[in-house]
Amino acid sequence: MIDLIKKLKYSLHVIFHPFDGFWDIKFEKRANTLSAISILAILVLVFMLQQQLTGFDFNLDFRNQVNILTKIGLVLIPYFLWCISNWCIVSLVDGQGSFKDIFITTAYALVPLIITSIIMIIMSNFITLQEGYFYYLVGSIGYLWSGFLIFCGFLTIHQFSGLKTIVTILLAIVGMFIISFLSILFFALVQQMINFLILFFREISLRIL
Amino acid sequence: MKGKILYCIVLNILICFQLISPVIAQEPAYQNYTYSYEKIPFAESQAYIPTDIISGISLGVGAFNTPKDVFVAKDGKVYIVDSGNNRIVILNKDLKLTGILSEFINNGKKDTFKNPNGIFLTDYNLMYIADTDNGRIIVLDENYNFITEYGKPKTNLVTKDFPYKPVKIAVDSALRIFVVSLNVDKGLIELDKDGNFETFYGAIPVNPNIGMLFWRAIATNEQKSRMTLELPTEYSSVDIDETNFVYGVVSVTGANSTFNPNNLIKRLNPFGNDVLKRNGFFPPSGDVLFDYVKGVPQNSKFSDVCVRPYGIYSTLDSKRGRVFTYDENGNLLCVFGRYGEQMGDFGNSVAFDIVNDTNYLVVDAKYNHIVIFKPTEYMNLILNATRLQYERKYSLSEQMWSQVLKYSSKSDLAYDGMGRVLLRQGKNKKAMKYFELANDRQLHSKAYGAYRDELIGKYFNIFLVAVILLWILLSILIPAYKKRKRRDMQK
Repeated sequence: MIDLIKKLKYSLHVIFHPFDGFWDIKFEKRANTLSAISILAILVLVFMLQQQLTGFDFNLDFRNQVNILTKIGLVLIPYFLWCISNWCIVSLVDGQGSFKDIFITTAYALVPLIITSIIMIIMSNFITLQEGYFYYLVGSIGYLWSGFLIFCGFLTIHQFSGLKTIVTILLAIVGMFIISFLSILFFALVQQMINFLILFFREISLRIL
Repeated sequence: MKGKILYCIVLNILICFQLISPVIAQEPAYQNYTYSYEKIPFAESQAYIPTDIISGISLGVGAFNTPKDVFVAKDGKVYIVDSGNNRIVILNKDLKLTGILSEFINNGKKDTFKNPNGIFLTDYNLMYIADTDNGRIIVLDENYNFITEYGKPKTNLVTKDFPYKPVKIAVDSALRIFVVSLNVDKGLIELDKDGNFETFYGAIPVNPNIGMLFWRAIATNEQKSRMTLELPTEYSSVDIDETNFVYGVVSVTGANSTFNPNNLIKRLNPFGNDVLKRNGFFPPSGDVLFDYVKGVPQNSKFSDVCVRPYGIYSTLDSKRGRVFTYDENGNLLCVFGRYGEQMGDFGNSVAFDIVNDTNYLVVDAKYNHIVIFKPTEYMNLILNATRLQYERKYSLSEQMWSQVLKYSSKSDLAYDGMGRVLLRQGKNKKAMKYFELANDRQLHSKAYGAYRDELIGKYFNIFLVAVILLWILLSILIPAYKKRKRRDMQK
């Protein structure tokens, strides 16, 4: 437990010293899968809190249509798609990072998002729409910071040059779309097949049995 | 006792054979509705009820033939443009026949109308008639004597063979004339008081989207010639309010790519710029929930607009036969009417006007009659509350809104109205609650800002004192703590 807290605390070092931090994560084992999963869990929790606790002026979610499962899915599905897609691309271009490295690095890179989301929740209850620029500014900073950390992290764990990192990240995003397209296609086909089988057996049972 | 039973039996027989009617008020067969802020329609209390029907036969002047317009003058007289019969039927305040206008003396000769489509009377009963198939505007005085006529406007901006077909007219207090002519997509035609062409007024912009521009840029000339032209849309009707602002509505809209809800209803200032307030949950555009058929939006197509006092205005939808009423801020007040076969239903709603700011007269060009709609108690409350708010009588307005809430506890409009009143009265905390119920984020934020200022004003002194005390305390404690720590270290 103390070890886990130590590893989570280390994320605060990582977000301010990305190159040093991600190096230590990969080679000095300053983080493990458990701590990465914990960060993800905290992120999901913060997103849920954001829906519930954001002030009325900034909360455009209809409060009668809350679904926790979709909120969880909105974080986890893109996350795993990203990790898988990135791992596929990186294996092709001889990156040094393993799937575990990618998983942990991405999780640690999302820590700024947690921090800014918490700040946004608190802010939204104390500011008016006219001052909303600051609110949205904080949100944008969170995303940009996380994006920058992902870039730095992948640069470090894969031992790529800057340009190669950017290209692989872009390819990974394309890969995410391809994977989601294929999985939707797969599910649609399976659904068709199941429907066909159901029809087939119904036909047989009605005609022969 | 025996008498009572007998009385009951007789009453029952009478009711059963509909010799007397137990219910006097006529409810329409359909439920009125309004839209929530999420653009979801929900049932609302009845706003207007059809009470009576005027037809040519009931007036004893022979059946109407596709009537196209109705106008209620300042003195309460009602002018019905009976286009198919080339005449204008005039009724008095109580909707009883007073006269028929079908001919007039023009330069010593008898002249008649040919398919007149529109009529407008100024406050001093100067009558302007759009004599559509003759391509002219006829001006008559209060005794229906011919004064003058204005033909096709003389301007280089239209081609020689352009067919001039004026259909709707509005005239402002300076006698400037605004004409809606068929097949003119440059806006309204503005004529000065002598009928000379001034300018095209308030043209509706085309809003091309990026995709359209992209395809146009890469298409060959041949492909371009086969593309549908994205033309600006035409006005279908026009009205004018007390302050000479012109209201125009649009019935034909382009394909999906150019659909813009802000282009359906316009309020034009003297420069022809649109100044309609669109502060409601959605811009005033009739139905906000509609489907698309082959990419063409099935939005409301307005055939007429009617301006009422206190910034309220109504628009008549000829697509689904509905009347939408908005307040000056663009909040939807009520929706009523439909196409159908029952009493009060429309066949083709083409024009309407309002009699002494209470009853609507809706002209039906298919059933050849006019339906009279009367506001219900509920609608009167809303109208009164809106009026009182407009007149800045907030406490009275609050009473009205709270009564509206008794009829309809879901009314965003009423919660919003209550909130506005409370905000004006400085009850910011309470106003916030009402704005939250009304889902009005803009005003909630405003109320919150005021409430926050109030709190800061109240507690700033205490806060300041607390900060100073804390600072003094810390400046004493921290050196002492450090000193002690150093001493411990030295030991």
